[in-house]
Amino acid sequence: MTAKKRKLISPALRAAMLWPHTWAGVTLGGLLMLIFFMGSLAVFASEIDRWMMPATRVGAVETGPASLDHAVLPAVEKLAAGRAVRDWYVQLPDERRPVMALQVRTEAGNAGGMATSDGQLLPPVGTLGGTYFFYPLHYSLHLRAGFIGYWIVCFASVAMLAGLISGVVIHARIFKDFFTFRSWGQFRRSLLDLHNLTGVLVLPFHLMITITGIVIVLPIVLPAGVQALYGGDVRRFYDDALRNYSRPRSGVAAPLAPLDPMVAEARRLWGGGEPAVVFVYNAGDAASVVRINRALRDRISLDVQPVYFDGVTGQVLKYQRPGPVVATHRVLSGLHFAAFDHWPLRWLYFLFGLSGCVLIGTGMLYWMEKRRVAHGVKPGVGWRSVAAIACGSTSGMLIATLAMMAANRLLPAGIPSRELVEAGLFFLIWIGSAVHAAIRTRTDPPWSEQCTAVALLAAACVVLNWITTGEHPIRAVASADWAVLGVDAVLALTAFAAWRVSRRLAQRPGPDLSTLAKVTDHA
Amino acid sequence: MKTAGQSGRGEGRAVPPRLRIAARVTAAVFGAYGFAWGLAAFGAELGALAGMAPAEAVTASSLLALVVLPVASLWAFAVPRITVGWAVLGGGGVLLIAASQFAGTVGP
Repeated sequence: MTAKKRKLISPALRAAMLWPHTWAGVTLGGLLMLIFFMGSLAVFASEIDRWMMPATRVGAVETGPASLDHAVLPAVEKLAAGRAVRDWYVQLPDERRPVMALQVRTEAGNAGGMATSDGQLLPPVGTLGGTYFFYPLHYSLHLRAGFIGYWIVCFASVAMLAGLISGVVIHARIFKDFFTFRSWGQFRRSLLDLHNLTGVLVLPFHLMITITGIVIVLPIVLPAGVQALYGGDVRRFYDDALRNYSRPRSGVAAPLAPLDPMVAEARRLWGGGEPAVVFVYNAGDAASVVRINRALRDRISLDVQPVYFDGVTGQVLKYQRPGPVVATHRVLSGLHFAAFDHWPLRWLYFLFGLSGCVLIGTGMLYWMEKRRVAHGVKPGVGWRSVAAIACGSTSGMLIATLAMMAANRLLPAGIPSRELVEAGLFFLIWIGSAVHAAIRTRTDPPWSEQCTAVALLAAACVVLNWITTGEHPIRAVASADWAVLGVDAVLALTAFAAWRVSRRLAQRPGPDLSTLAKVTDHA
Repeated sequence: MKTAGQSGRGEGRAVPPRLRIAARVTAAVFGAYGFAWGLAAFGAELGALAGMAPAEAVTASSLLALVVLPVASLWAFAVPRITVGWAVLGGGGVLLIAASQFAGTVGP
């Protein structure tokens, strides 16, 4: 094995891989950091939602048979406020989101809201929260037009894949260095060790999560097959692959049949399982269609097994399973989504996702430390830009995230477009911290100052949650509100760690270039 | 195995290094994507000809192309002569796309 590998991975190949590995990391590291960090947060998007939307902390609901006809329909009517409803859907309450989320499309604009499981509409939450801010930032950067965000994220993801593969090629002594971590040795040496350690130890996860992330939107970012067989119509491809059903409005009014028997029928077709989302298309029309999606929490696959009913007669219109390859695609996508109900795995996804941030961050730091030798005491513009990006995409992003969460607890409920103010603050503060990093970078980015800011903001978030909602850790334990307690605990841990780091960094002497220059690392 | 690391000096006598790097980076980004595109398109047509359902053929060939894409991208840096890299990735991509067009006209 080793002899064969030696031949396969020649020193020249290793040297050739170094350039793309280095420069893909340096140029796209900041973006990848954002993608990995927001993806890690997205694992706990529901819990972050509970923290950011105190009105939805209504305690656990029994996910039993809540009546759609009695609880949901009146809420839809109330949201429509007299306007003719075109389509609507409801996400039913579950273990992690004890409220319903409704979205109504009327002839005059859309309306959305949350309601308790018995149909009581809640006041507007006034935030995008984890599900509608951090999570979309992870996969689309909030750049929806023309799927441009998908393209950018997927481009960075392919670079990540190439970085992982080239990293393995460069680091051919993979098992020897597997047990090497010289944390008390030379700083640059231990950065490289940490980079290699996370790269090797979590390699299977990083490969899996990166490739499955692209797989989810593959028909959009590599539409070659869609172009060949579907004339470039991605929608038609999806409808065919996922066995969707749709029909146009007839224009003839007709009442909606009871929904509860349809849910019962869907359950029977699934052979167990819970409904997660109910869509009503062409509401109030003779051609209305009801679609019921299955909850994903009892399996890996992202196949929601939609059952389509005729909205007037209540008969099943379509229920088909996808073919084997599409089903495989759904399982791969599900591996990325981690919608299955498994708390230890959820935490592992979160931690492994953060380890991706460590991998990318240590890579950028290592590059900076190595180049420092070449640049001497006065680093050039290139070095300083990379340093500012590295700082802005690590501590800067934490500052922006925490500032948004603090703003979430501080902004008054009534201000107009509250959720957009929050999101705007996130971006403003992020840009501000990147500018701060760029200005304050002399021999080093302002790590210590930004870590102090992270520590103070994280601690402030915990305190603000306590003051504004009255939910302190003891009460959270007493009421078994694990979501809020978990977010508070991670915030407190962040505050503690960031404070320790900032103190350590403040005491660290400046880099001693004379000793740095003496040490030569392997490629 | 002869790779770019060894031949970098030999090949670049006439070509400025900036241009050489640009050729490799564009081959890695656009060449590799074009190759993957061709593979996905040709694979989809081939699968459809072989009797697979269209959605199945599209998904299977796209997944295959996705695995090839990062490897092709890195190969653009490993190949000793980037002209060969461009010929294989760019030329191969064009050939595969042409083949898929042809398969599309032949098929039902």
